[in-house]
Amino acid sequence: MNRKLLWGINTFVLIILIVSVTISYRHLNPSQALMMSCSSELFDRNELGGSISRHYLLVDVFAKGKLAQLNYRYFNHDGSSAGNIMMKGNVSGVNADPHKYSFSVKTKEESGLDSEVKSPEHMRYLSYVSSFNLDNKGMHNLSVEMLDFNELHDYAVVIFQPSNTVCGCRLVQ
Amino acid sequence: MVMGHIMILGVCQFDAHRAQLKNLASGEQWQLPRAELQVLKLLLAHRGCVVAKHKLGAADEEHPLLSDSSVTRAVFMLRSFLGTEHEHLIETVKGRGYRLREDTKTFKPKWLVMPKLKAVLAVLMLGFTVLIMMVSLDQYKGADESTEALNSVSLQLSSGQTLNLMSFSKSKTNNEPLLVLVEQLKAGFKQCHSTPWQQVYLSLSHDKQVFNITMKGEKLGQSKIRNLKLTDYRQQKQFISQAWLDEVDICE
Repeated sequence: MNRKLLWGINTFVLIILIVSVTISYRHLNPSQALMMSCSSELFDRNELGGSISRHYLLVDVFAKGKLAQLNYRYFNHDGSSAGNIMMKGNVSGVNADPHKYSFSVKTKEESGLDSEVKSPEHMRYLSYVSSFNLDNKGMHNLSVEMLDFNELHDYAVVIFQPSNTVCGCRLVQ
Repeated sequence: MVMGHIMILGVCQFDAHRAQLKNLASGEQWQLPRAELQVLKLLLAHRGCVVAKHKLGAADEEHPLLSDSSVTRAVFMLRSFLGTEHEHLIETVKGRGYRLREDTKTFKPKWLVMPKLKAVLAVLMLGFTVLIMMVSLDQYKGADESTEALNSVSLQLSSGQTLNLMSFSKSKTNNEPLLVLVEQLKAGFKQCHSTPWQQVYLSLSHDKQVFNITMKGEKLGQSKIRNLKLTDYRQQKQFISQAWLDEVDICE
């Protein structure tokens, strides 16, 4: 066979392999980074008379490469800490359309749940669901999908699944 | 590698019946002259052993004796045809003769050497398969549907400002409680003359215990976001009340 033709074919094959490996690597190691901070006002209806207790929640979502971290910080109305839940895990998928990040939480650290003061319902519920999944499946999967975002104005309205929670967040550059 | 009368020698295939040596890489064929044929046959018959020059040039029933120089030239020609990569297969053992090496490394399987094109095509097919898989993966990922609003209602305030309320749900059924909440909130906003909010996103958690309100708007050219999350674990739920609307001041 003509040597030039062989070289041509080999070069073509090499290019295809390089492209394939690059695409595979990008799929397996998403390079897109996500950093956002979401603050919420929490209102818990109490059993007695339906009175409302108020708390604040700050959720920091950080994802880079394969690493993902979600930090839930709860505060009392006076600004004191009401507890923390820090989750760490992997980015299991990044989708361009819809703009969606999937996370697989592997570990979590909690503080403030044992205190004598009743913790925010949101925190107790999040703690219960994540513990249930981590104990049974060894992971707690969740996704964050952008419903509306504007990088110029640094905001994103997202929906967390499977909890079906809409939330407005600040994008951290 | 020996297959009946066909033998593989480096990158060449030797057909003893046809007295032919063929370079499988280039496709070049060589009809072996008597001296080269005799030398090659004898070396193959004694592969791995040293064969003396006089033995390689021995006469047979049909042919006369070959001179030492004829044997030397035949070996040279054979080596030339084998090419620089494989000429070492025929070794010169000084003062004793020649030896055909039993170097198994040089004996490539037929499927590998013979149809190099096939090997190249196989790699090509592999590459394309990987690409197709990637494209399929992309298509699969692309098929991941974006979340659409379950319900979207517009509300015009007394100032003429328009407010859009959008509700989101995973389920297409059993959304009555969410739609009731949308109406209640809509009634609350109706009381506002104006508001910095333009879009209101609403969702009820999958267990219907948490009602999420996200309000988005603009103030002095800056985007403004406010999240309200109401939890009610009671049997008879009442997420929204007039007192709560006043307390949070949704009109701002």
